[in-house]
Amino acid sequence: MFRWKKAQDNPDVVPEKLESPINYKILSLILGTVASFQIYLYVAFPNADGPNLDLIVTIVSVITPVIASIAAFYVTKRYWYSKVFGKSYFALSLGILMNALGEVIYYILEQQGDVPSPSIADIAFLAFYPFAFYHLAKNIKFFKPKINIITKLFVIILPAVIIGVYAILEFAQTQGATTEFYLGLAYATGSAIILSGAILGASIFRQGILGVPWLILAVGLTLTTIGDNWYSYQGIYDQYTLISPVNSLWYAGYLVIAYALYKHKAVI
Amino acid sequence: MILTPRDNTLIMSGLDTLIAKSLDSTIKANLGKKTLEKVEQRLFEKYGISLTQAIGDFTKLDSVLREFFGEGAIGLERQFLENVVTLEAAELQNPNWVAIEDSSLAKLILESFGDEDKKNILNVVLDEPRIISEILEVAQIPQTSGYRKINSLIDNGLLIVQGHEITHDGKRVNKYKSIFENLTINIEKNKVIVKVLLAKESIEKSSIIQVVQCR
Repeated sequence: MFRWKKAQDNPDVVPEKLESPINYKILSLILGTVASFQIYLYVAFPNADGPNLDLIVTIVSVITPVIASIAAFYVTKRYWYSKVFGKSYFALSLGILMNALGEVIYYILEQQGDVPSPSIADIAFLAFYPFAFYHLAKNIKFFKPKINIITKLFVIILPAVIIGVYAILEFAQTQGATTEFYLGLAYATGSAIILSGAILGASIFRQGILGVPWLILAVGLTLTTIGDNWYSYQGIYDQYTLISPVNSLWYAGYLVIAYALYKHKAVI
Repeated sequence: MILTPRDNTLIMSGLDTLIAKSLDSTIKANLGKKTLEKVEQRLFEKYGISLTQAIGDFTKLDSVLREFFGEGAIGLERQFLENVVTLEAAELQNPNWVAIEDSSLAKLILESFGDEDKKNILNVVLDEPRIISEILEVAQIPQTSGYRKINSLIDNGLLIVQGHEITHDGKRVNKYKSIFENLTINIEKNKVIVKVLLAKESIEKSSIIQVVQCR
């Protein structure tokens, strides 16, 4: 006989295993939004030049890390005063905020004329790496105090390859160890180390529910790492423009990191 | 069946009882109150036990921690142990010597040895396990205060059950032994360092040490 479904028809069953799957709709939404913005830039500013292009790109470049930073602060607040989660997420939120600050400084410098290289904005951008490194190291050291030799080799070899390839290509182009060479190398080194740490973190937690946010975090950091390296190459070959798709990698990276932080809050 | 804390204490090894005191503080101090609540909630919904009770069957707590942290549970479990004791094998040439890291635990041990009756009780069962009436008789302690002090030592994990004796009326009576076989107290730069030689049985019966050392 037909009857309304009542709450007691579906008694709460304790799940045998905790699960928190990745919501691919959210990831699609992030990628879709970023791709739409990129298409808009191509259509509205085909020559990478326009009255408001600089401002529009700067606003989006500031908003995306700010969103990720707010998400990190929110997680920090949840674990406030705790030695591992509290401190490490606070460091991550400050690090991401440094990127937003870098964008603002860069925009201000640009309005005043040519931006020197390196500039104060670079200090803010580079400040992200020690903060992110602290976040990763704090968690890895606590949860995996002993790391086996294979993992150690991976942690050393992956960044070494990224830095090595970058250094060879850039050195050949710049024809010597210029300031630009060292600056690019600093970005490549920072991003490669962070990427390697994020992958190690995701591997530690992979069999637990916390593995999901760490995997998403690693994906987000991979996107920003690719962005950092690509930007440096574009800088060497003088190919960077405001409508370059490299910006989309950073936007997507920060939004994916924000989702990872939301997921962290949701699972534990 | 859900164990009461008292029942559970009897089943747990003495060392586990000591470590149990650091469980919630370790999670709360490092990972926050919310994480502690999540772990407790999952432990209760899956096994119907509290965090303190879980240390009696550490594999259950291990399985819940692994659900949350995967392989990272190893680090957290080591932290439970290291917050209470550190192994002093290299220094003292005996793997069972441990230094007490937890100040409240060191205080508890010192207070127990500062109490004349408790010190006598611990001395009496230092080498061989005895039933309570025998302990009171050898230590020459009055029954009323003696039972209270023995119960206090059991609750604090300093006395552990080791074997039993059948009385003339057929009753099974537990025999108790001190959790440690030797103890040293050093004062270095205003810091009191308590080192204890754990009884072999304490190590063998400790489910957390068995789980952590297997890795």
